[in-house]
Amino acid sequence: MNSWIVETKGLKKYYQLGNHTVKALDGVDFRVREKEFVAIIGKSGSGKSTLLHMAGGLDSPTAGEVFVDGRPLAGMPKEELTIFRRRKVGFIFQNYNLVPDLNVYENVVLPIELDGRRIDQQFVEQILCLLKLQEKQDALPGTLSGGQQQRVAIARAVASKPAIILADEPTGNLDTVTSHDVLGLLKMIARQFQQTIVLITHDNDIAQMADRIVRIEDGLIVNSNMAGHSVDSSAMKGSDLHA
Amino acid sequence: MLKNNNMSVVYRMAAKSFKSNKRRNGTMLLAVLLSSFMLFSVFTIGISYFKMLRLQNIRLNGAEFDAIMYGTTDQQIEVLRSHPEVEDFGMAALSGYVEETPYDKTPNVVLMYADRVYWDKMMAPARESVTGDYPSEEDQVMVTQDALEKCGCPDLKIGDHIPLTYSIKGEMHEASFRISGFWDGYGNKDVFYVSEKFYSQTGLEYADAASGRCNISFKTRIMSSKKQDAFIESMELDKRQSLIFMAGIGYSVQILTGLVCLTLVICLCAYLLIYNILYMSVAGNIRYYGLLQTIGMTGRQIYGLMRRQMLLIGGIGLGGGIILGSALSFFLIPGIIRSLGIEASKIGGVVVSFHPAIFLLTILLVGITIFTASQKPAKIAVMCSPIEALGCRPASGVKKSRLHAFAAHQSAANRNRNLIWRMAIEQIAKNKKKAWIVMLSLASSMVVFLCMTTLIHSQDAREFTYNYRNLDLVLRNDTVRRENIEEHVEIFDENFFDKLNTLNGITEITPVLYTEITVPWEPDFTDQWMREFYETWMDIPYENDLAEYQEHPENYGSVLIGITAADFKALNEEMPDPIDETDFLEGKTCVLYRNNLSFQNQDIAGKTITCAEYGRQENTRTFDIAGLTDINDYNALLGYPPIIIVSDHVLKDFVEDPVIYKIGFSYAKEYDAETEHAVLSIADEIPQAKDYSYESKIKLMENVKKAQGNLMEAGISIVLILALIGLMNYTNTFVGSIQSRRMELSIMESIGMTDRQKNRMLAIEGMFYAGGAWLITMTAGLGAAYCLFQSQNYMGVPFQIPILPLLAAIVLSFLICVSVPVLTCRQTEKGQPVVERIKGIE
Repeated sequence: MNSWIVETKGLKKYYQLGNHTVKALDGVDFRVREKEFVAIIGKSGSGKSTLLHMAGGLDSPTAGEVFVDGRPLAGMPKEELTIFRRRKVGFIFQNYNLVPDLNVYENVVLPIELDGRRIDQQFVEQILCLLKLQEKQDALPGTLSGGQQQRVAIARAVASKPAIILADEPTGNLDTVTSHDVLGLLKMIARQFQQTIVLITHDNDIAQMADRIVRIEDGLIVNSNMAGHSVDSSAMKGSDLHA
Repeated sequence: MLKNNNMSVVYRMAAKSFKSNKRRNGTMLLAVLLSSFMLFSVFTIGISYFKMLRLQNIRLNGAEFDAIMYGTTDQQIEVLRSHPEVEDFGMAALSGYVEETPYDKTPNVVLMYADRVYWDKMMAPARESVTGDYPSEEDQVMVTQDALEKCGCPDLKIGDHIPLTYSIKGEMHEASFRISGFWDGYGNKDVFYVSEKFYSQTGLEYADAASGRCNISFKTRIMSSKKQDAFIESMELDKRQSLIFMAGIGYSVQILTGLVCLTLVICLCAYLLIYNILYMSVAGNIRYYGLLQTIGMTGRQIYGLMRRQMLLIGGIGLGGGIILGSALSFFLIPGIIRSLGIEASKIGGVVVSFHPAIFLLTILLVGITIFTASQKPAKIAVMCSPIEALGCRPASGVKKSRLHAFAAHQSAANRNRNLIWRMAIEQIAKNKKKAWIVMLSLASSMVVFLCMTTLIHSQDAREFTYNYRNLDLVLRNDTVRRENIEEHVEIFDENFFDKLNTLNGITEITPVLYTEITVPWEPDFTDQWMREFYETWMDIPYENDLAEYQEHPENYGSVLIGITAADFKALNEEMPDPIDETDFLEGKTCVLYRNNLSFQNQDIAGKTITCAEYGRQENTRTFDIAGLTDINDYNALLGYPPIIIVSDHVLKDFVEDPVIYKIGFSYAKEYDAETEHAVLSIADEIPQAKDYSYESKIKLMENVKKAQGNLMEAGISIVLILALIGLMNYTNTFVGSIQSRRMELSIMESIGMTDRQKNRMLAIEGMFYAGGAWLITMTAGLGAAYCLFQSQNYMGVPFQIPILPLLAAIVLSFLICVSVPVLTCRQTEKGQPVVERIKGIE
C-alpha cells in the first residue's frame, strides 16, 4: 500500500483580479510518497508555488482537499494548523526568510523552541556539520552570503524532523555553482535523514537532481516523470500522476 | 556653467510619492496633525487654565493687585507714582470696627475706605454686582448683604439708615449711616465701605500700618524674587510696615517655569512622535531611495524631494491639527466638562482663552520639530549607497546587547520555557534607541499626566487647611471682643457641653480658655518686651508711658490662655525648638506669642514672667518662659504686654472662672454636614446664641470651590486630552513598529509560531514598554511633578501623589500597552494568508 505524505484532491485556487478570475490552480491531484524527492517545474505564474503553499497549509484553497501525513488540512482551526505545520512541514524559501535578529543557531532551533520541544543537540550539531555551518553558529543572517543563508534555511527546515520539506525555489537567488552546492547538500541531507522533499524550480538541471519531476502549466499538472526521462507536455488534468 | 532646472521632476515625484504611498504618508500626516493639534490645544487650554488660576487669586483676594503694603507714607506714595515698574496703586484703609448695632452686639464687621483706583479698577474684576453709588458723604456706607446679616438687619435697602456703634483706635463712636449702595462678589464681604470724608475725619492715616493698605499692581506679570526684594528695599519700610507680594506675581517666575516645562515636554512628545514615524518610514523605504540613486538622483535632489514631501505633509497636518484644536478648544471642552457632570450654567460657562500668537507658536514649533526630526532620516537616505540601499533590509547590526547575550546563553530547558519572554526582550533590546524613544514618548504623556493630576489634586478645595489644626468647626465667644471687660462672659455653659456629649459624630472637643491678666513691670524681661513693643507698634516712645505702666499695670492688660494637651502638642510641633511637655502641662513653663517682635529664643533663655489676675492683683503666678510662638490661633485679645499661653489645668487653678474663648471640634468623618448641623443647632439653643460666631471647614471649602470656578474642570480636560494624545502616540509608534516587523512576524508564523504565541510576545513587549515608561515617570517624572507642584504651591499644601488616579493610570496604561501591539498586528495582517504577507513584503 502506498503511504502518501502529501495528497491533494481536485485542488483549486482562484483569485479575483478586478472582473477577471485568475485560476492559479484548477483542480490538481497530486501525491508524494514518503522519502521521495519531488521537483515541480513550471514557468513563472504557472501555479507551482501556489501548489506548494497549499500543500504546506500556508494558504487555503478555493476548492479541493489537502492531506498531509494522512490528515486533512481543511477545517483545521488556524492555531491548530500552525502547530501542525511546525511539526509536520519544513519550509525553505527563495528569500531564505531567516529571522534577522536571531543568529544561525537560534534560527535553526526556533521552530523546535516554538513547539516547546527539547532540542536534540546532537542532531542539530550533525545538521550544522553536514551543512558546513559549525563555524557560523553565532553569526547573524545579515553577515552571511546567500548560499550560507540558504543552508541555514535548510538546517532550520530539517532540524524539527518534519514529515515533509517544501522548498520554494531555494536556488532562485543563488549563482549556478552555489545552487548546485546547496542542492547537493539538500539531497544528501534528504538521503541521510530519509526526508521527503518537494522542491519547486524553473531550472531543468536542478530538477534533474530529484527522484521525480512534476510539470505544471496554467494551474494544471501536465506531466509527471521519473527524473532523467523526457517531460511530456500533454495535458493530464485530473489524473493520478504518480507513476 | 548654467544651472539646469531639474527641480520640476522633484516636485512631481514628491506629489506622486504623496499620492502613491498613502499608508506611509497617512501615518506621517497623522503624526503632524496630532502634534499640531496637541500643541495648539495645550497652548489654548493652558492659557485658559492659567488665566482661570489668576481669576481664582483675584477672587480669593477680592481685588486684582500684585502686592500689598501695610502703611504707606506720603513719601512712599511719591516713590510709587514715579516707579517705572508700578502700573497702578490703590488705597484701601481700615476706618474702624462696627462694635454694635441695635440688632446685634457682636457684628464682626469692619469699616473700610477704598479710593477710586482700588474701588473702580482693582476690585471691579472680583465684583459681581453693584447697585447704588460709592459713598460720597460722611454718613454714607456701601454694604453687602452678608455684612447686613452680621449686623442683624438683613432687610435694609438703599436709602435706609443703620445706627452703628463703632470704634476707631479704641475710642467708641455712635452714628447713623445711610446705605448708598450694595455690592456683591468675592473676597471679604463683612465690610461697610465708607466715604473719603468719613475716613479723613477719623484721624487715621495711610501711614498707619494698622489702617493704610496700599494695593500695588505691576506692569510686568513676571517678577523674580531678586526684583521683589529690590522693590521692597526701594520702599524703605519702617519696622511697622510690611509689603507682601501676592501669589500670582510672587510666584510668577515659577509659574512661567512650570508652563515652559509643560510646553517642552509636549514638544519633546511631538518630536519623538514625528521623528519615530519618519525614521521608521524612511528606514522602511531605503530601497526606494536607493532605487532613485541608481537612476541618477543626487543627494541634494533626494533632500529636496524629502523636504517637499515634509512641506506637503506638514502643511496639511498643521492645518488639520489647528482646525481640530480650535474645534476642541471651542466645542469639545465644554462638552467634556458637561460629560464630567459639571453644569456649565452653574459655573458661568467655560472660558476658553485664545490668542493669535498660539497659531504662530504652534506653526513654529511643529515646523522646527518636522525639520529636526526629518534631518537624520534624510541623511540616512542620502548617505546609503545605491547598492546597499537596494539590498537593505530592516535588520539590526552584529552587535548584541548584554540582555540579548544573556537570553542566548540560558540553559536549553529555560530557553524552551522562556522563549516568548526571551524573544520579547530581544525585540526591545535589539533596537535600544527605538525602545528608548517609545518609552520616552510614553513617559512624556505620563509625566504630564502625573504633573497635572498632582497639581489639580493640590488645588482641590478639600486639600486646603482651613482652621487651626485643620479642625472641622470652631465656635468663638464674641463677647471677648467687647471693649468692656465686664461684658466678657461665659456663653458656653455646662448644659451646652452635656448636649454635645450626646452626639456621635464628634471625636474631639477642644476648648481654649482665657482670662485677663496684668503683667507687672520688672526690669529683666517685661521692660525689654515693652520697649520692643513700642518700637514696633506704637507711634509714641516707650518712655512716655513707662511710669504709667510701672505704677498702673492694670491699664496695660493682657491675656492668659489655657490650652488642652492636644492643642499643646500641635503648638509644640510647630515650634522650631520643641519644649518639655511635662513642664508645660504641670505649669512650670509657658509659651509667649511673639507678636511680630524681634525676640529670639536666646533672648528669653532662663527668663521668667509673672502675671497677676486682672482685678485681683495679689493673685500672681510666675512661669519660666520656655519658648516663643508665631501661631496666633489661640490669641483672644492683643495687649501691650505678652500673651501667655499655659495649660488649661493651670489656668483653671489660677482663676476661678476662666472664660471659654473658643471651642474646636473634630468630626469622625471629615466634612460631615450632619454632625455640623447638630452642633450648630445645639449652639443656637444657648441663651446668648447671638454672641457666638463660627468658622466651618465645610463653608470655607465651599467658598474656595466657588472662587476656583472652573479651574478644576479645565485641569481635568487637559489631563483627558493628554491621555488621549499619549494613547495615539503609542498606537502610532506601534503601528510603525509592527509594520517594520511584518516580515519577521510572518516568517515566524510560517515556521510555526502560533497566533497565541505571537500575541503573548507582543503583549510582553507592551508590558516592558509600559513598565519602562512608568520607571521613567516615577523617577524623573516624579521629580518634575514635585518641582511643578512646588512652583505652583503658594497655598503651602503638602506634596501628595494622587494615589487613585495614578493607580487607574497605571492599570489603564498597562492594558493599553498590552492590547495595542496585539490589535495593531491583527489589523496589519488583515486576515491575509501568511504567504501573501511574506510575498507582499518581498
